[in-house]
Amino acid sequence: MNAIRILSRRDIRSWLSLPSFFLMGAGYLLVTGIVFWVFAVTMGGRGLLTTEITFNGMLFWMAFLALASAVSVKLLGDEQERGTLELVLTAPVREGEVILAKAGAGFLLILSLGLPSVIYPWILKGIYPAWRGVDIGMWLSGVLILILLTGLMTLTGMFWSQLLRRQTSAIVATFLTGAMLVFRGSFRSWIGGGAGGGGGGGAAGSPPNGGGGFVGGLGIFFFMVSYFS
Amino acid sequence: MIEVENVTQKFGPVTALEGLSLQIKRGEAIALVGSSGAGKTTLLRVLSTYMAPTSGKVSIAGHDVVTNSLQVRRLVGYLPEKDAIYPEMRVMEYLSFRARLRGLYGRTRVKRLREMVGRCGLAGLERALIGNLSKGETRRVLLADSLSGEPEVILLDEPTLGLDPMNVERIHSLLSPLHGDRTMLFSTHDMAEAESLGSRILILGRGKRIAFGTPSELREQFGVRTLTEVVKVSATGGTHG
Repeated sequence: MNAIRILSRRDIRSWLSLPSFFLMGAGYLLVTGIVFWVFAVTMGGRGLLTTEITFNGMLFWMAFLALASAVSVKLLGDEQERGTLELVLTAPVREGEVILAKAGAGFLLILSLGLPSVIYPWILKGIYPAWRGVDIGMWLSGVLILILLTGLMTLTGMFWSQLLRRQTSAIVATFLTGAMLVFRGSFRSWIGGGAGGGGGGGAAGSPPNGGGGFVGGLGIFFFMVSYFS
Repeated sequence: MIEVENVTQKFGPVTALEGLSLQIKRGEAIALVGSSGAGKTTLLRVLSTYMAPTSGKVSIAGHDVVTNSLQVRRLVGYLPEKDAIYPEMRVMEYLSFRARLRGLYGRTRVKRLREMVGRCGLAGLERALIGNLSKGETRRVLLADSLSGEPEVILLDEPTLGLDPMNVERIHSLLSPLHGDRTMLFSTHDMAEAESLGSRILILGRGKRIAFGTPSELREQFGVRTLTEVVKVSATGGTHG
């Protein structure tokens, strides 16, 4: 347990010293902020909840997936590229402790970048009192999905970074894996041409038709594979 | 102390080590020599638990490097060939981080690290960013790290690679007193270094053991005057030792 704490603390401190980490966070907030603003303006007269505007857009989740993919792949990928993994894996720690430390650090880092966006509904409520306000249940489910998705993406990124040598390929693979899971309902409706799905911020639900149990199960699968590889 | 039994290490179609066996007693200093690609780094990586051998058995102080890797890591101090180190960390911050992983805390850690910093010639560089250090300084940080846990077994992959004569001298004077006290394996291309630091010399060629013995034994076996000639002769022909 102590080794996990020492390793994850080092990782977090190292990431916080990188300007690129803050640039990624700023980029994410910019994209989600613009999406939020566009939705707020274009759907102003439809009587929607501020929570629906924030969490219902596909672009919001796409931006989050991109951010999570970039950070999670670099957790082990950077160590491998620099050669520091040799030092980590020959220190008196278990391989499982290294994986858990990386996953824990990645989870906290991605979440720290993603969580500021959950205050958007409250901002909108403050600016436009005429809006229908914040549905606490919907807001909490949005936050919960963001937390669960952070865990899934952290493990998925670590998994792909060990499987693919090039970090760019691993980031793309992680993003696509996440997108396939999160937007599977939308993809199904596009392919089948049917109604429903959450593409482009259509119906309520956040993220569009993501299966919580399925996502959780897959997260455990990726953790097991990362651990044993 | 170290037992290597019929170890083979393959990387796809490439065989880095082939049926290698050797026994090293406690307190011995073994120099690994051989041309590039002979298997020196691979052998050290297997001993350090970084790689599991494709076949064969390796144990250190009775602990198997595959099934009991954590115990082995507690006994071993390892200096890798590559100067891979976190450039964003400061020297003392890095050494403290590594010492904590080894279970060194409080005053013991501070005392031990101060001693290592002094012995490795890093005094005055404690707060320097690792990314700003020269190659020699980075190498000495890695050496200080590998020795800070006072390991029973020291594995050094080309400890003086790319260093100026002054730094080479400094590292030699640091390693020489460890003779007889710790078990040490180090790889080198410098025959003078192999002879001065090593009690026995293991010559590897294409992953196989070519010869293993004291410098005088090797000279006698190959019928030559210098170790450089031993390596030349062994590269062209017979297996001894």
